[in-house]
Amino acid sequence: MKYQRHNNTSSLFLLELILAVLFFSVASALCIQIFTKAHLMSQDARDLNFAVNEVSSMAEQISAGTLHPATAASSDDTAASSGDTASDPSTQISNDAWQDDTAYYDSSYASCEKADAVYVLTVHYEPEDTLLKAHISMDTIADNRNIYTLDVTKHRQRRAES
Amino acid sequence: MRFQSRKHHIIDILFPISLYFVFTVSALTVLLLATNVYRTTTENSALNFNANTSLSYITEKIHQNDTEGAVSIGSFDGHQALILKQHYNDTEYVTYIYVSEGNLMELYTKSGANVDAGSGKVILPLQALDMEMSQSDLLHLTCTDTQGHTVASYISIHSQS
Repeated sequence: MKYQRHNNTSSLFLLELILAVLFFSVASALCIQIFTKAHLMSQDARDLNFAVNEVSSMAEQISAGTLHPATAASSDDTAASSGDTASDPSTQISNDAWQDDTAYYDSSYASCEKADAVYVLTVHYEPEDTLLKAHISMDTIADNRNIYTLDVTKHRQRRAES
Repeated sequence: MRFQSRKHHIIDILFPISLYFVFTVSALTVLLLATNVYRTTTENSALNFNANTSLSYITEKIHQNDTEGAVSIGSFDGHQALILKQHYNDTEYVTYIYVSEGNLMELYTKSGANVDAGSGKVILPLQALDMEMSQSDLLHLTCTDTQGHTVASYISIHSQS
């Protein structure tokens, strides 16, 4: 009789342990799932903030008429050194010369070469007579996911030919 | 009698202890993971909030006041300031946006009034705000938050002074 009682106690203890481990495993799995989701949401928010800032900055430069195909890709360096903009540079470029521009950024959002890039900023120009339309988008390179897109339309001022 | 006497084995002690050890290590791992995720999320939120919100605030203020050359960069009480001029009933009022004592501050006052930087209203904690006119109509803003994170942006000024 005593042996049987001892056997029952052991089984109960083992069952209790199994249940505790099972409960902990389920709770841990849920927690890790929530943490991962929180981390991804935080990363997405950071990406979106960065993309909005960079794309808006690019749009402002296009609106100011300081960008042209040769300088658009490296806006941070060229905007300050492209000289006087009393005459809008965008008016001096033929429609055929407007080609897409790209800028690359690494995981810490710093400008980098294509090989190290995580994000790509693309500017697609569509010149239409006196209008310059630009489609600016920020995408991830790994999964080609669009983060933010902005369309800009600029009126290219031209002097009337006498 | 021999049957009733229980033999104690080392595994009887070792198994619960090892299980407790595994349980503790797992709990600590989950706790560390949670701490790490919370820390990065908080850091990202702080960066998004302080530097980007300051930049967005200044950008909107510029867009809001971008009429008749009302936007300019100048100096206010020894601090570099963004100066936004407005006219009401033939009286000129000025809004100064600047960084003083680790805070982004804003002061709205009548033009020429004798006020100092301490009179401004605190907007957000910010370490530095650098402004320069890259072109005659392109303003370059750089905000540095209290953690040293920097966010920069260009803003085009449509109205000419």
